[in-house]
Amino acid sequence: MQELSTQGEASRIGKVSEPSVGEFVELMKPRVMSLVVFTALTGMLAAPGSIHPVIGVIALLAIAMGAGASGALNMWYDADIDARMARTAARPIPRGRVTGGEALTFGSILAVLSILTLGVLVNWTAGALLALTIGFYLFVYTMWLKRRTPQNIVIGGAAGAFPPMIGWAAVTGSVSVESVLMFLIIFMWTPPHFWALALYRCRDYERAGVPMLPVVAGAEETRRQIWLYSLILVPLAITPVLIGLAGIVYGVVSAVLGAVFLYLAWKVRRITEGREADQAARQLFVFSILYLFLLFAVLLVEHAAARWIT
Amino acid sequence: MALVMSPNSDEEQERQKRQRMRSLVIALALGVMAVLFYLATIVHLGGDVGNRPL
Repeated sequence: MQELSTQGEASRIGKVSEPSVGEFVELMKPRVMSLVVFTALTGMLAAPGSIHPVIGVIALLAIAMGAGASGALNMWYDADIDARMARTAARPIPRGRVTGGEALTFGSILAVLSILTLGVLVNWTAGALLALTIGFYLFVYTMWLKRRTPQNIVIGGAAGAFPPMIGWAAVTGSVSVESVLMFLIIFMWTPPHFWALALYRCRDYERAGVPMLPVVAGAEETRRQIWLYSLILVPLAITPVLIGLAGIVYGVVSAVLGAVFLYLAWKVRRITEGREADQAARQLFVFSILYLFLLFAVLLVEHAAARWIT
Repeated sequence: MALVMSPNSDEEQERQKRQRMRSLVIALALGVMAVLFYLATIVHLGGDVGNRPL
């Protein structure tokens, strides 16, 4: 009895420090969430037609909630490998601040609420796309591909590419060539972005047992694949101008940034030894974030300005 | 027995504070959702909702 009682006490007060609100916010990966909201907003503004501002804000909140749900569910499932990687070891679950069960409950509630909110209050095309995004990220990427194949982030990248399509669907209720093109730009951007990171974090991924391309196929093959994907990405990122989705400013910015992207990807391909090689990979990783952000920022500003003028 | 804490300990106070804050945020989030559903309903019904034959 004494032991049981002590155990009971221990479990009752075992979590002396309850998780704080901030730790639940951390579970939602706020930085990823802000990028998701930003690309979704671009999709909304680029879409033809209009949306009532209140419904637009609700759509963005629901998309943010859905992104937060994906983050929490990913952290719940990946807690074991997060604990073995320097980059992720300080997340709330490996740190012992939030239990796996709490993250699962929190993520599940957010997922259901976000899909229902978007479906009921905006439209069900957007709601279905959000459900697909969360499901793809959790079941296809996190549970199925991440620990099994070096193509994990190639296919799994689709989850991160859906948000502008959801934003577009929130306004139009449909999927179109333009929104598929925005999807494809993020989809093709994902492999060089993550493989650049994996090149200089290779040991981290190796220790965690995640079969990223540099771990499985080696650095040389990864450098070759980064170059090939960059060669597809840069022209693809210019095509919005050709189909009337973007204007001349976007075209110029995309071409200039694309040239820098190719230069950095070429550096990664050529410099293969020592600290310079890591530095080249790091430069490409950091620039790739700026590249995608600026592409969507210019697209957003162009469409916002066009709406302002008309 | 050493595991049992006095209710006035700093840790217990901190735990209660965090719990209170979480409850407040949940209440606030539910309130915001209720307002958003209300506003969205009004928007969907349109401005002329009251102007119709009974």
